[in-house]
Amino acid sequence: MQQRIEITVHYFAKLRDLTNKEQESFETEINSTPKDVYRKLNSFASWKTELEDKDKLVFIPPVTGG
Amino acid sequence: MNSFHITEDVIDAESIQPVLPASKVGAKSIFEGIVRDNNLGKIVKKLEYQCYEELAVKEGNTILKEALENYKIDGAFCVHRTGKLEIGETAVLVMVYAAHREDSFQACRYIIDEVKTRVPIWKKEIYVSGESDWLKGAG
Repeated sequence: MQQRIEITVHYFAKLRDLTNKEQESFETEINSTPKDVYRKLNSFASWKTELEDKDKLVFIPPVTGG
Repeated sequence: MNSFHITEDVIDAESIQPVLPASKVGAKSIFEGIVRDNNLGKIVKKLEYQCYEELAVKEGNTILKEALENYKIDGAFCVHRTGKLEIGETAVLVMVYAAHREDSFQACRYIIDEVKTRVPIWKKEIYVSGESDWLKGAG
């Protein structure tokens, strides 16, 4: 059986409204990338970093401060 | 001084008292971004700012450090509001101290421009019509 890891996903702005959550724990397969997590969450992102156990993944829309 | 802050409290320029050697200061520039009542043809009732504070403080302090390295200034400070803001309230304040006005103007401009494009803060406009929307890019 494939090993699984647990990460924390944070949501901001439009994504927070869509999910109605500020953050949540998310279980995924070891060697997952943000892209993999995005596909499961039906959100966006595409990097090739391998996620590690207890990683914190933050999806950041274009910033609009000021 | 020389620090970036996030606050849910009202920003009052008078209450910010940076500690600086008075003998060096010849200029103080302040920029305040204020909530206005319209944008892109819609009448705005209030704004809501959301922030990823951990990264915002880190990136904000990096911007202030860059300003201190690249301009002849003696102090730089920035504070940004989060939460719901009424029309007329200050959303962001930048304060720069320098020996001369040109350096303080330039550094102040650099800081606000970089904050608007790099610091993870998001603005939601709530309109008089009852609708609301997250803005889509630095404006």
